[in-house]
Amino acid sequence: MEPTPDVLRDLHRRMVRIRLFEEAAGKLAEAAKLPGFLHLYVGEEAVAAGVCVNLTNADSITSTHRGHGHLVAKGGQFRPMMAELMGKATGYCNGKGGSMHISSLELGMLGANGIVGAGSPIAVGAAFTHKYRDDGNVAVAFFGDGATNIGAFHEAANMACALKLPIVFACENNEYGEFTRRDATMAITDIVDRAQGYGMPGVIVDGMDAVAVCEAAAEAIAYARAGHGPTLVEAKTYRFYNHHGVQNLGLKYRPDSEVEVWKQRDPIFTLEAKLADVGVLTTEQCEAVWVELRADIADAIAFAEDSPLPNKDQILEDVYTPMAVAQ
Amino acid sequence: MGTVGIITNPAAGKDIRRLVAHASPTSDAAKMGVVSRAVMGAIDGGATRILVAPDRHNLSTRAVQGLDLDTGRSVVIEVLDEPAHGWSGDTIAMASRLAKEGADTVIVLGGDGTQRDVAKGWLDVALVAISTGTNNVFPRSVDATLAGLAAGLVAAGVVELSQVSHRAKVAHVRFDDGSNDDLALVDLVLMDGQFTGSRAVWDPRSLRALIACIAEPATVGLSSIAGLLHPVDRRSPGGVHVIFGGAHESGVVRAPLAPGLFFDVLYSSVMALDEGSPIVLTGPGVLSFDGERDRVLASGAVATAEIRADGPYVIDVDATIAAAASTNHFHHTVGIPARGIEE
Repeated sequence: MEPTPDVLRDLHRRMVRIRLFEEAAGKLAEAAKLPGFLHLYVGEEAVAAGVCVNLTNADSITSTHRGHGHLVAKGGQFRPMMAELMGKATGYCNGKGGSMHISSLELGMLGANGIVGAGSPIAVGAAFTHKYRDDGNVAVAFFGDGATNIGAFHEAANMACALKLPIVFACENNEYGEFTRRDATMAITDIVDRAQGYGMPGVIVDGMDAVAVCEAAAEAIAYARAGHGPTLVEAKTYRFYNHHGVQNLGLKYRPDSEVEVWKQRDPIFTLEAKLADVGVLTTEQCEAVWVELRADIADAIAFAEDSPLPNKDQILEDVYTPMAVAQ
Repeated sequence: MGTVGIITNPAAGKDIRRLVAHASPTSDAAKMGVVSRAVMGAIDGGATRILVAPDRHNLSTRAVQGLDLDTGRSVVIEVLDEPAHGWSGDTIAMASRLAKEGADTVIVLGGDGTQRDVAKGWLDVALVAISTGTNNVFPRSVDATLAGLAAGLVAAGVVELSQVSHRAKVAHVRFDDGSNDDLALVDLVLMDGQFTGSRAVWDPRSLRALIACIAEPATVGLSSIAGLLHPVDRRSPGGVHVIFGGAHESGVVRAPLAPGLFFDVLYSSVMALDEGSPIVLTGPGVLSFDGERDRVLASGAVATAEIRADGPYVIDVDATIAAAASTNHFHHTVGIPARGIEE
């Protein structure tokens, strides 16, 4: 049921951290200070935060090409994240992963993933490990609506259900696969309709309402921890910026009016209004969180800019498992 | 002439109760099948005009596109040019529009929450309610073929509406802060909490007060508490007022609050509620309408509810078809061309 005031404040902080990190990354990309593509999570914060606030570092998640939000929500620190996006040696992956392959095994974040749909089988592997070790932990696979059209997703969902693994399939249905409307690529509207086909419960939740996501995720995660098996939670959400980059209006593939309607339901501002109404955080306290975290972002950018690039001797580091060579 | 409207809620039957309870999912494909059967039934009942309310998933429009309408009947199927955004306001707007379009009867696919939205858009609509939601009290489980048939028979004037319908009771709710009035068709509940969250209600410890328009023993959901303690069926005037918690708990009732989910519910009092008698609910808390948390009531905020039988005309499917059969409506003597076949 309803999250406690402490969880609500935690939820809010995680969402603001994601928003600030993404806005900062967007500005750096516009200034050509970040290499490669940048897929921003702005607008979808309630999903990553609402799910991850129910997890510990020992639980595993897999992410997508739009992956910074998941790492921030799982406890990712700004300094090594920003350094990673800049390709610096002090980053989470020593600067060799970048935006689309950022990961932190210590935090149980098994990686962003440049291939649509490729994260789910990895999460199934993690869930198998948790079950095999009987460690009480769970895996969460984050993926978008488009990923459910990919074969890897079907294999992952099928195997997870067949083996009754402790996993939550968390679908961020933002209505677009890259630049293509969902209804151009599938005959169904709700991804949750697919859950039945594998034999798992599926529920829809308002992905712009952090409290609703948190509540549903808490139930799904408890279900997995209790050994009941996989579930599919479909969060209806929306990305405020473009598929990649920071442009949000004036694009051909979706009408500006649609973007504006969704932006009226900004998940952070709506949560802040509710928290103020019920006295969990005043408007001033919310603002103080933004101010504090903006300073952290500025620090992380300076840290990343001052950090060295990895040197060429490090290219093969972390590629092969070290092995003893037979004499 | 007979005009039948059809409204489909694409979101019904997919909420968290598939996880926290044992509710079955209702897929879009299943709902499209319901729409198809209902429309074919309505046409066979004599409807000459079908008004299809669009929905965000295009379930109704896709369903009617696939129909074989070579039934020998003259029928026009129109899709209303009303935008569907994907929220509950859609259902309210579609119901209002169907009123303006002069629909004789309306078929509504959804749960208690959907039927409530229809009543918000058109309070005295003549409707056939088909359950595609979760724990439904207002709409009955009925095959869509027969539900559509009944809607068509009434719309075409084969059967008189007044003979086969009853006026639904409504819990009318007004707020002291001047915000818009609201209503419930089954139950209105004040519960502890500060958020509407995932909307469904399944925790008996959070309940503070229940006002039930329909209090029937053989139902699932919050209203079953009232139904098991003090039955007042949907056709009888008034309702039931149950108060929970406090220092004077007087009993425990075991009730199914969600599909497959039974709880011992502590209550302090149960009272019959006369029609028109106001009940005051005071915040803080969350108001649940027909099983969904829908409005946060701030500390000290007041909502006043009263039950009146001025809601939709609910068409009894069994009675309608039986009435038509009793006049030999479906029967033709051999030698006389059957209806629908050109001479």
